Amino acid sequence: MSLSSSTPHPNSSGSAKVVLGHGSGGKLSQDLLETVFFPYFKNSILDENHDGAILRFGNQKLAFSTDSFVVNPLFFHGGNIGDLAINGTINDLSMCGALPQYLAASFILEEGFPLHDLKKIVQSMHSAAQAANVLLVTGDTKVVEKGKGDGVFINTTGIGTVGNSITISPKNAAPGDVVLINGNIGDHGIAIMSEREGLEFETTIESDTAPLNDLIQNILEVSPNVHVLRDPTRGGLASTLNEIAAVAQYGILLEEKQLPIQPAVMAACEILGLDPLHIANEGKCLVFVPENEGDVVLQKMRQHPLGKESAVIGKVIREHPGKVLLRTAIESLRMLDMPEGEQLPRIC
Amino acid sequence: MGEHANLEKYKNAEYVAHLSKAIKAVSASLGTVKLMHVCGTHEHEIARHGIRQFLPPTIQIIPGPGCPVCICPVESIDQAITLAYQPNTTVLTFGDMVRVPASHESLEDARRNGGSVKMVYSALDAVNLARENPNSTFVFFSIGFETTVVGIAGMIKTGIPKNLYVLLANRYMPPVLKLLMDVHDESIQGFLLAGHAATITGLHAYDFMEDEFQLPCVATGFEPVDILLGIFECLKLIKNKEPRIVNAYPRAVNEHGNTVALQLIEDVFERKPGIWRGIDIVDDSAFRIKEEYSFLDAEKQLDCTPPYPPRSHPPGCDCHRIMLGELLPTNCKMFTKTCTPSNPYGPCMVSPEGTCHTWFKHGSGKISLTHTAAHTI
Repeated sequence: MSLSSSTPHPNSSGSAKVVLGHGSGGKLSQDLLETVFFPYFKNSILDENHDGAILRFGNQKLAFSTDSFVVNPLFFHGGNIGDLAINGTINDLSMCGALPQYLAASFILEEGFPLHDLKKIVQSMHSAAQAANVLLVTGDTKVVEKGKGDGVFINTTGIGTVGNSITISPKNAAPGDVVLINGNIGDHGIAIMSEREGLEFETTIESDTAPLNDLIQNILEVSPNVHVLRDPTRGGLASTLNEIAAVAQYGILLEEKQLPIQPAVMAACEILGLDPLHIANEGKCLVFVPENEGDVVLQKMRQHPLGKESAVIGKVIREHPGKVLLRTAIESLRMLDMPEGEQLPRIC
Repeated sequence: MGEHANLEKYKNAEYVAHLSKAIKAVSASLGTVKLMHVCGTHEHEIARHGIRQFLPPTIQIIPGPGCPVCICPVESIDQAITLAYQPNTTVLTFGDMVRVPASHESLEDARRNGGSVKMVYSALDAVNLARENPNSTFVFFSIGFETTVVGIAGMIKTGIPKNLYVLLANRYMPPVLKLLMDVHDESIQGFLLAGHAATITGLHAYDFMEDEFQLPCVATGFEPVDILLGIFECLKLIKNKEPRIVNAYPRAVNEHGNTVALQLIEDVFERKPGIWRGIDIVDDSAFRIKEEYSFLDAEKQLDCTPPYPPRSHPPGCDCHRIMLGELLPTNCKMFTKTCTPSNPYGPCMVSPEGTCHTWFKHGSGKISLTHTAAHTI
């Protein structure tokens, strides 16, 4: 056996297999989409490369999105797989500028899973849907034999209405746009990691899972010109910004000093050798608006309970198209690449 | 997290700018200077913070064999893999180690093919796992330099469960500096010593560099200000022709090292010649478990001889020359093309402390921006 064949490249044909990194949200996920899914499903709506699809029915625009949840552990500080699944799809719809309305949920349950825990999860889903003012209107349940699942997997799919004047897309990022975020980064990934690995820090780090629809509606009220909205989930800010830069074909300059990170998360990252820019978030959104609207949007975001720590963290530049640059705290510049492979598997 | 807050001043842009100026001034008359560091964390932090952007083009910082995962001999990984396939036996090791390609496969491949391999965060995790599963055999595959070997010594000294064995592949850094002097034909003019390793050994372990080679060495910390200070001190010694061993990381390192830790190491381990992957056998550089503790030495108690001969680096791989500082990752034809972190060909692309992985992730070159774009928000 040669060395190269013992570590098959996921792209090579024949013996190639799915690896965990394919689910990381980073480069390998992108590869999987481009080499396996896009060639077959290619169409103008999918080609938009958005968090959800924008559908037109006469004069009415609808956003349509789906997401599956396989997080391990199922229960963690700040939430569980239930509210994560509701918030995840609400946020994907919100990132299209939509007002989420209806959700569907599918459950894949493993034989032997305690009903008591299932009830807790469903209860959280109910509360999350209520808080976001959406209705769960259809669903499905399947059970697999013990050992063939991992407790519970949940898929949620949602639909929402989009105002006719709203055209939000990563393609719209334009030089001069400022990039804002609604608060601290890395909380979700580190919360899951510490729970799973039994790591203890001085402070309990909680997942940031939250529905962003209300915050987004507030932003759209003061700035109908929002160019891009995106939630930096798997793969963190680095992945999401690289995706946007690649689609828009402009550069993005990120300022390390402006990044809101809570000290406990920073410390955890330093101990574990992780980069907070690669860690998943579940209640954060990146907002690209023209420079002259940056202040008013920032103020509006800070007034919202989910945006108190909002900050301007970067801007879109003409140079280095398709790339993300980071100006470090000591004023040097480096490329910020998409993470390769998985940092932490099964975080959502 | 108060300690984190304390480190902030070592990432201060003003101090960095000040040191950058001082380095330019002290090196103005020196011509080209090659300094080598021997620590993966140094390279990682240098690339992550773009430290080379603050140095004049005449000052080259060359990454040496400082990544413990990269220099871990293939023979030891082969042994660990062999153990992983044995019935009722689980190999425990640090995350980075799992993906390093050995003669035929990595520990990760072995796990995929039915071997038992688990990742742990510390030696203590290994003890706990062995205690919780008294009917299984566990082998802690230990790698790292003098910094990590202390924890293993402590673990062994305090007593470990009977079902836990240690496969020791730890290495001792100071002797390899001699070898580097030979390889580089004295073109290296100074060394930045790994601050955490020096915290254990103290400075005297490097006295031979002053006595035999008359070469300055500076114990250097890991934040941007620490690293630039280490470089500045080293250049100052070169300029003043003072080949001394200097401590530029006094908040952690003292002259005599950590005497408690040194005693622990001495109690449990001895040092013999040992292989550094792709480099050579280096005298006095391999920690071995003393006879007194041989009952927990996996090499002596378990059958860990692989059924194949070792192959330390695959054809075409330049990792060994990169580890020696003879080549940079960008000189390797495979770098970023057929060798990436998700599909590593050689060991330096696997560990986040490996030079190739670091350069892949953070880049190495200078990035330019026009004035308008460069304006801070």
